[in-house]
Amino acid sequence: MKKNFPSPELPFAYRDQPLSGNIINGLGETNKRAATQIFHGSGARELEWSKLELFFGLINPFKVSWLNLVNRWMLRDADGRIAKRKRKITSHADITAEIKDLALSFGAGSVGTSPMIKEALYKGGEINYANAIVILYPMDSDEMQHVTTARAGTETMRAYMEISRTAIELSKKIRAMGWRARAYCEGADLLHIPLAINAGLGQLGKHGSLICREFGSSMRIATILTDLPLDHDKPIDIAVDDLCIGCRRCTIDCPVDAISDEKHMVRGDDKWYVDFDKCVPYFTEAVGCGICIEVCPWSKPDRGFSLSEKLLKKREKNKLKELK
Amino acid sequence: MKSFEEQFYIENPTRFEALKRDLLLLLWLFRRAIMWAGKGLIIRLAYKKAKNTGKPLVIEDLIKD
Repeated sequence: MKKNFPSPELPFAYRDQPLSGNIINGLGETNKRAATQIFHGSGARELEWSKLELFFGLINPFKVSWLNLVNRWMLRDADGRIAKRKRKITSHADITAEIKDLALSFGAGSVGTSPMIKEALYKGGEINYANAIVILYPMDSDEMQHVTTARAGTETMRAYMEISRTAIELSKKIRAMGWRARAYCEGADLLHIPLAINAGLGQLGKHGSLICREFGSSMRIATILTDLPLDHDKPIDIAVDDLCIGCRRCTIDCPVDAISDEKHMVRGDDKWYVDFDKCVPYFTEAVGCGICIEVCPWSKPDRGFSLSEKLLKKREKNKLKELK
Repeated sequence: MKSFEEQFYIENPTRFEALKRDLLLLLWLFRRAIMWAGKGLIIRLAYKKAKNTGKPLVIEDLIKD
């Protein structure tokens, strides 16, 4: 799907390039360590690439910027009053099912639960809650066909707003039960993808985004951290790697060749990695880009479940062949 | 520096704390809106010009420390 995407020759550049984002991200590092904020920061520290981030914010179209401000205003309710009377939890399974039903009724497309894990924290962060409820919200596939334009950028911000609203409503319900709960959405001090993987919502794709069966990568993620006792979901294998290893859609269509066909060692983990220094300047130019998400075969509407099933069957078949 | 979360997420706030938070957040949003409309306009115009002329903008010249 080669469309008329913006040229990789960008109309802006740094005079003195900041420290490589790949170094900050720990590319090639074999020791495990926490991630460091680098772009779309929460404001916790002055980021090496903060000028580009500010530039991105200022060249964004009006509607995208406006929705971002409205979203930030909504996020004041991400935490709040906790009911004095704490609801007694007799069954973790029942309360988990109730919370999941609530999340879906508030508009979440998918929901999973995980214990809070240190991999979801940036450097210097602390675990202050026991559990995480991770929700996904799908983006409109028709709108996302217009990636690299203001139209898709607006759809992305709309999805951020919807998922913020859902996460905030759910956190309010939990606080009304007398338990601590805080919603983490856009611009938060939290890494959502490790939690989403641990909550059994999907796997990391070659393009560095979460892939789930329901929406592929065409969705946004939010997390509610809470002390409410919950049952935890288990990570799932939907055969993302089986496809990513051979599929080259995102690597070919990425105008700046930021996506690699091989996994890399990043902070002690061998995983898919996107070249920050190539990706983010183009992301800035292309209204949040999203080409890799849009072209990903998993992102085709209603494709994920059958694709996963097919790939898992193929894997089993190959295993049997090897045994014979 | 305080993060957005540290500034505006308050667990169990009193009414006064919530009101103070709301006012500070409104100020934070207002500053952002003014920056987008003021400095942002200058940058968007320069960006448009750079696109047309093919002469790239230098980020450090546009956004000072």
